[in-house]
Amino acid sequence: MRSYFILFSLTFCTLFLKAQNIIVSGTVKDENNFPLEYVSVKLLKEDSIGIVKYFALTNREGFFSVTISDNNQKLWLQMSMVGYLNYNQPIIDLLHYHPINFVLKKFIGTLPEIQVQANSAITKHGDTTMYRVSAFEKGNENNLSDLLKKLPGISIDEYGRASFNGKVVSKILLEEDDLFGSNYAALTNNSNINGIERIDVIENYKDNSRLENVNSKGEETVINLKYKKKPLRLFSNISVGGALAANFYELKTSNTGIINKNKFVFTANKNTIGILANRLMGLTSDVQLITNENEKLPTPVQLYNSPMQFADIKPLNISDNRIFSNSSNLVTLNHLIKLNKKVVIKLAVNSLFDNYIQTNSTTQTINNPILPITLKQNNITTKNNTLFNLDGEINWQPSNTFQTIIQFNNNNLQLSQNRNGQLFVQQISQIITQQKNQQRLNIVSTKLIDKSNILSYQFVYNSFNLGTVYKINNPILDSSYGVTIIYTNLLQNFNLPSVITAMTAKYLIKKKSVTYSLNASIGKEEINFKNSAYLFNNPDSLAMMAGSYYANGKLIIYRSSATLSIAKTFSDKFSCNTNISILNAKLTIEDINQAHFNSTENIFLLPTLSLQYKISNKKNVFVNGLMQPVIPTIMQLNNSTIFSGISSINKGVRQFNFNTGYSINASYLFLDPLKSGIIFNTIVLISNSPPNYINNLSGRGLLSFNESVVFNKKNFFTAISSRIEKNLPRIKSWFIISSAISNGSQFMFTNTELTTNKTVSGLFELRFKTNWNKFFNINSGLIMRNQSQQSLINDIKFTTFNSSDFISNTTASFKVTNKFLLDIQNDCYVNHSYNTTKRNLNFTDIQVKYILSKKINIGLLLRNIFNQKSFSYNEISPTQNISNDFLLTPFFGLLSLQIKF
Amino acid sequence: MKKKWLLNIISMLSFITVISQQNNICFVKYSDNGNNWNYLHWYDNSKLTFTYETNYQVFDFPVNIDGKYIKTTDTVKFKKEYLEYKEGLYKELGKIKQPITQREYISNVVKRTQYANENKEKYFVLDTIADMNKWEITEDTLSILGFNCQKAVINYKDIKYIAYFTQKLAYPAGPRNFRGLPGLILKVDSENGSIGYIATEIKFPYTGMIPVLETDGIPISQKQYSIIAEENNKKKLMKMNNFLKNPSIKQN
Repeated sequence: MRSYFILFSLTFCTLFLKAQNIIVSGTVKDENNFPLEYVSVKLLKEDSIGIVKYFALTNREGFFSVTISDNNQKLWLQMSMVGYLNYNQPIIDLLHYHPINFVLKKFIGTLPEIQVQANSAITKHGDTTMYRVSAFEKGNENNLSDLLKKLPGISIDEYGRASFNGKVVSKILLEEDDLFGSNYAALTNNSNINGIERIDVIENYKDNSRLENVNSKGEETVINLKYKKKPLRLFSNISVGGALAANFYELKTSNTGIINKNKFVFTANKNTIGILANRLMGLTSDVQLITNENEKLPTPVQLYNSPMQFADIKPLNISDNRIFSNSSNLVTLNHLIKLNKKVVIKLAVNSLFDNYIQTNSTTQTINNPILPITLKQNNITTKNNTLFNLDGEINWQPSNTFQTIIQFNNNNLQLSQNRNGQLFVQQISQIITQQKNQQRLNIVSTKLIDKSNILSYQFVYNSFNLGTVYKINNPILDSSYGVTIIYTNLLQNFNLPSVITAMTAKYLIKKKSVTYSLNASIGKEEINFKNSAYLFNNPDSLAMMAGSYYANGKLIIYRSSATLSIAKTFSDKFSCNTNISILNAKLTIEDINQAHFNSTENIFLLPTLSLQYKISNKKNVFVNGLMQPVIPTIMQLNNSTIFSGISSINKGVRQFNFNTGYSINASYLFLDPLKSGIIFNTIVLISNSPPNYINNLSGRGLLSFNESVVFNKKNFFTAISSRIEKNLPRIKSWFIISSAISNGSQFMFTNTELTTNKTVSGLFELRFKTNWNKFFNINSGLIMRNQSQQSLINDIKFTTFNSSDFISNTTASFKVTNKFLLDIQNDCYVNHSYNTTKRNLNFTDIQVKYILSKKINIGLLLRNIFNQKSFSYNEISPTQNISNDFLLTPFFGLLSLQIKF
Repeated sequence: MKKKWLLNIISMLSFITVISQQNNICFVKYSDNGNNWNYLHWYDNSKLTFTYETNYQVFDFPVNIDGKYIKTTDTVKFKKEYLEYKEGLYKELGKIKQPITQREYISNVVKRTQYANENKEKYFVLDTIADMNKWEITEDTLSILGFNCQKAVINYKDIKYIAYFTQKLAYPAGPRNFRGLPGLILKVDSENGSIGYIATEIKFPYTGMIPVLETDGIPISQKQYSIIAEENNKKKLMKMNNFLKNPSIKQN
């Protein structure tokens, strides 16, 4: 008979107080009232994963007795025996500890598999896969990313974010402590691997620094770095590099310290070799702020982007250092201090500066013949971006039953973007200056009422301000602007300050194998928007543009929700988590100048379901389904006219529309790097993304208008991705095949005609990487991407196109002698877009490292050998074809000196 | 292979919860300080079984040059001789049946199947060992094979031993007769360096074969067996001395 319940019984447990000594004694029995012998009865320091302070083993009668010499201690009582579930209980007050009769459980299910062997490269302990660094390190790694890429099962994307067998890695820990949150790319992209001894990937990880997780099941996947033990655990690296000719240099340092109660990572980089600071920080764009995505907030916090910005041209994931001429600085400091047993402080300071230039000529063609617009531009775009970020956390846990966490987050971003060039033959210059400021305070208090009941409160305050000034010299002039005089300049001010206040109360109850959670949240978001546009010849005499170019209003969103979550563990194999949430969203929009007021509200019923089935220690199945509300955004509701570019104009609509979308994903994961040498995952995703509003694209002369139109039909997407890594032990290599196929239908209007765009895209990658020896290894991959699209106007087939890319990259690593390392990397790109000729691009880099001593290396980097000076790339979308010719970074050589200690 | 995948998919879709027969056996291989022996241990809910396997390393080997035996480490010149010697040595060592020892965790009685006189004699040896329950736990930790281990110290028969145990494997045992901590001991060393064991391999749950304690040998106490063993050793030593004096004489 299957038994799901814990069936220990502590038949008697007495507590004697003798002067300073306390004796905890008792008898442990199983469900059938038989005494259990050899049970380890432990009193642990601090928490259930703490170290043993006192212990006893039960005898044949199941009796144990532990003498505690100091009664002023926080202790956990833990009983363990193989074949039984651990029993855990905090002893809140030793002096007033009352014996309880426990009902505990015999373990039924599959125990986590352990296969470890001394000196083996990969070992596995249940949910932890451990990599011995010395087995993978070849000496040519420039940062942690380079090492992680060599570990089977781990993938690193271009921003430095990691995934493990299809699961997103939510954080990277420094010896069990989280210093970075979701911003760990600062570590992967900048930190040297000096001192790292072992890398553990932990699946089903539970963050024990949060008291609210006491009764939860771990769901995260994290990486834990283990450093070498030595008296002073400071691992530093300094590198100074300069070009043989021209103004190229790179200065960088990374320092990791684990000293007494402190853990810190300090990195700095200053370079002119095309490595942007925002990429080193792992940001996906230059307008992104640094926030910790792992923070669970009671309400969505939007950090709005301005509709005006100059996007970087960066096709086919070509590395930054082949495209941009730059001067960048990055300084990051992440520090954790365990002040005492009660207080842990974390601090993150990040300072970024990017000055970079891109030169390109673009031909933009609107595909739809109803709207024939062609624009030809030559531009030099210069950007000056400065971002300062300060994050902090104070974790105060005065007792085993109470915790308060205070997090604060501050961002200050300033962008200055200049674009000078020609539109056809007309000289045009554009300047965008943008400022983003954000401050957030997040306070979470948790009270452990008893071992089964937890109460927590959370309060969030977020203040955000976006201000953008857009100035165009020689704008496109049109009679729709409502001015008759010809002006040489256009100026637009756009401001979007917002304040969010939200709070939530959460009550968790654990009853046997079921955890119930009741959550009530309320939140208010107030967004002010102000937009004004002017034409002028002289800055002293601005002519304000017609009414639709001016807006001054306020949008207030009230969110109140109640959520019931039920998590049940049916067995060690099968667990289920379901939520039912009711959300009431009330929106009020106010036009301050016209004293116009609109208000509406909508109720959403949002169920979610999450299932996990563990077929065996190696095989897992996950199924998740969720529904999400789609609430109008400020840009959709702002019905004023906004210039988003030299020839494009956006306009919202003052009509409220709500929708609900769903997303379902199912995944099968297989992880057996040791025996069969197979790591496999396949993930299927189905979702609709209901656009409350879609764009109606229309044209007028050289101007294209994008207007929001209320719409309720739903976009639909399906995607299937698979990845298999196979170890070939005879040739000490791994062979990797991955594929991603997606299919989608999206809607838009062109000149008020409904247009449906059906897209099919595929990505296939073959990769072969070796771990032959320390002297010669290769890593070679071939990536094929294909995209085809069909556009239907009013359900009649209108256009089809196809675009394909081939990318190959190969790195050959040689250790010529024990002191001389040589890496040769070749990247080859082939782009063949619809109706264009095939275009090729070829890069070769050589990196040489000479090891002078254990602490000093000399390096020579030869980058962009044999490359062309420019590259043409065609980008096709449902509405337009953009052909870009852009200049590439020329060849350069960099001589560097690296010191590590 | 296809079949295997198909079965996986079927099991994935059907969501049938199969409760496997629970296996709580943990296999641990320890090596000693000299690395000459591997100690193979199997722990189950109530008892420990262990035996040895040789991990003999051939540092030098005898070769016959002009009728004289000399010892050499030159495996390039004498590769064939080295391989023959090594193979022969392992073959000989493999013939010797190693003792199989068993002890219940809580008991001080050790039972052992012991072979002697080139496997011709079989004994069932019973021994009683002293209590090992005065461990002092410290807060020092050490990672062994990825397990976080806590340090404990004991003074046992006037020798100080330092052990590291892991709570992750809740067996109150360790290598050979080291025991009595609230978790499996993965490393133990005597302070004077004479004894030392460290875990080099762990498999859990263990599904392979486990040596069986045979109780049909001549029942004997450890004290009596020690006398027999000593006599056997003397005989072996005498044979070895004779061989060294005159290597051309085949050993009997």
